[in-house]
Amino acid sequence: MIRLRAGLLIVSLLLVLAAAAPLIAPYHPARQFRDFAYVAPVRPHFRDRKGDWHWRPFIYQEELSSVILPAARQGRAKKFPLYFFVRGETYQWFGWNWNVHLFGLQQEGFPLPLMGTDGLGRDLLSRTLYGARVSLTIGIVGVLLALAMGLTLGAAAGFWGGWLDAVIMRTADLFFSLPGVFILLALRALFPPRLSDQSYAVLALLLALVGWPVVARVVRGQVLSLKTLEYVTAARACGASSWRILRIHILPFLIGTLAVQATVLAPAFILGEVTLSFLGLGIQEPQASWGNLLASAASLSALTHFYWLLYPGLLLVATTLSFHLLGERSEQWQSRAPWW
Amino acid sequence: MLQFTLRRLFETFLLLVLLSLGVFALFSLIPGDFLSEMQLNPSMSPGTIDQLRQDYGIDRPFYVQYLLWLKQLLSGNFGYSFAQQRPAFDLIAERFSNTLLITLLAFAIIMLLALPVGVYSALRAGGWQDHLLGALSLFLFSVPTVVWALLILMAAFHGGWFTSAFSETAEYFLPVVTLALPGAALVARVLRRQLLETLALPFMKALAAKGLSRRRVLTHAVRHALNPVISLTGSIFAALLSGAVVVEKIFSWPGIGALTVDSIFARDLYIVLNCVLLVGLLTVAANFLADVALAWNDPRIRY
Repeated sequence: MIRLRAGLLIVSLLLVLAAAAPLIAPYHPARQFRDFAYVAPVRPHFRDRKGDWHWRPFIYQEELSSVILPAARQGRAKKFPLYFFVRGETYQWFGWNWNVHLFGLQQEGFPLPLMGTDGLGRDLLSRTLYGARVSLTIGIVGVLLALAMGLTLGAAAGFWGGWLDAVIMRTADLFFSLPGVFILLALRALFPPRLSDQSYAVLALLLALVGWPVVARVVRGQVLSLKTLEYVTAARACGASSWRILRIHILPFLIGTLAVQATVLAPAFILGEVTLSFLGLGIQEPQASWGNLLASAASLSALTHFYWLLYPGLLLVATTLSFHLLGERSEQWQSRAPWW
Repeated sequence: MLQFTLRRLFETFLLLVLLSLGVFALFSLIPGDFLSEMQLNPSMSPGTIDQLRQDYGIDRPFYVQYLLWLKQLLSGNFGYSFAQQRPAFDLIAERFSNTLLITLLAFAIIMLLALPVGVYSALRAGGWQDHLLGALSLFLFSVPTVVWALLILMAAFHGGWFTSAFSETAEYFLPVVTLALPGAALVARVLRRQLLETLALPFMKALAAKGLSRRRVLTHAVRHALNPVISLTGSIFAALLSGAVVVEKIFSWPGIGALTVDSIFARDLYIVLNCVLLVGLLTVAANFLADVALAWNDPRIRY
């Protein structure tokens, strides 16, 4: 039970972080601080060098030293206090224009790199938060699409059987005879290498196309056994139409199955987007996604000197881990007696 | 057993035909053909392009094109890589064997690691060793291959493994270990759960009552519990091939996954098509072998 709760807690925390990304992120993900490329993560201090305590946390300016542009190192132990609910860049959130950020500096032109900055001097924390939005949205929309497709096709195959069943399930078999990433790559090859603005929709659709056979297979099995139950025969004897039987007597029992499938597919789909973006075939710069953030960490110099570029990976691990915690428990949920 | 194998072989063959048809149909959905880019070239006359179109059979109906393509494939002619300027067969064969090498090694490591660990944690079920191994496997399984690969590469750079005396071993070993870690965790957990279920079955009691030693009883139990692991091997192999794409890119391993990705960027679509089909062939073969192994381990399946 504690695992399920931990999983639920982390998943909801991540969703809140993603939804509130513009508010929490100190900067726009594409904002570049040209003089502050590859700044290591700085820590907010409460105690200064003389040992005095300050209630307002601050960062030292000298800690904002760019690795490749040491010229910016000029400032000597100057303190930049941190403010909460500061006014900064304007952003759109739920249809309104906002300019309040959860925390930030009052000084213009200096970054607040709590997670470091990348090679273009962009704040990695902001990019990771905005990336969470992209990665989680694509994963979740993909899961919903896959569930809808799998439910429709699987229920149709199981309920009507015959040639419809044969066609749908043989098609599903084709998908099982290829590794997931290769199906994704094959489908991705139909589109130009650089996707433009519709990339979100295309990626969610590609993931759904890869994932529906998993759902369809499970749903078909369930429908096959449900439709032989006596009350279905009774309903039919009462003159209920096929559509009514499916809707009233079969679909409500599939909700548990679909929930389990969702916890299985969600981490896989999020990873699918990350993989494609990592390979350069998904979300493109300057937009951020966990995949292309990790891609910028995949170089000799990044791995030896700029270790903080790997931090977005931590959030990715937290995501998959929490979904696995959810899924571990829901296997038992699946075998629970139907409710009514 | 032979009858079962032959029946499965026939089904596998049908699946392969369907797969090739599906993949070919998918790629013929792409607008334009390989000559449409040449039309932009002012020095090419429309007549030459029509001639080329006839030579390559692009003007023929879909099913003729499919059969022509299949005939070419079966005679070992994989076409020509426009991006790399060499026959595709050489290119793909070389890359394919590289991928096969690391996935098979990873598969061997998964089995060598997971089987003892799975049996051990089942025997210690509920103990601290089991809890520790359970948490460890959940963690190993939850860290995505991309992150594993980057972490291991980072450790390799910091440890100087690529410049040490073991550099050659490291080049082989690191991609393989990266691929194997999540799979090993999964297999160990599946085996543990299944072994616990088997140990609770009445025939275990019967064997013990017959006076068999603990060791012999366990052998029976493991053989019974191995079934889900064997039927999982097909999808594990598919997962290894999936993971190989990212691992090959990160470790610069010249495999078929990296080739597929590079060919998508180069719009070398025939290569992508053939790579996908070849990987499909490998997966289907792995599934077939897993089925045969399952039937061999469990006679009930043969009928």
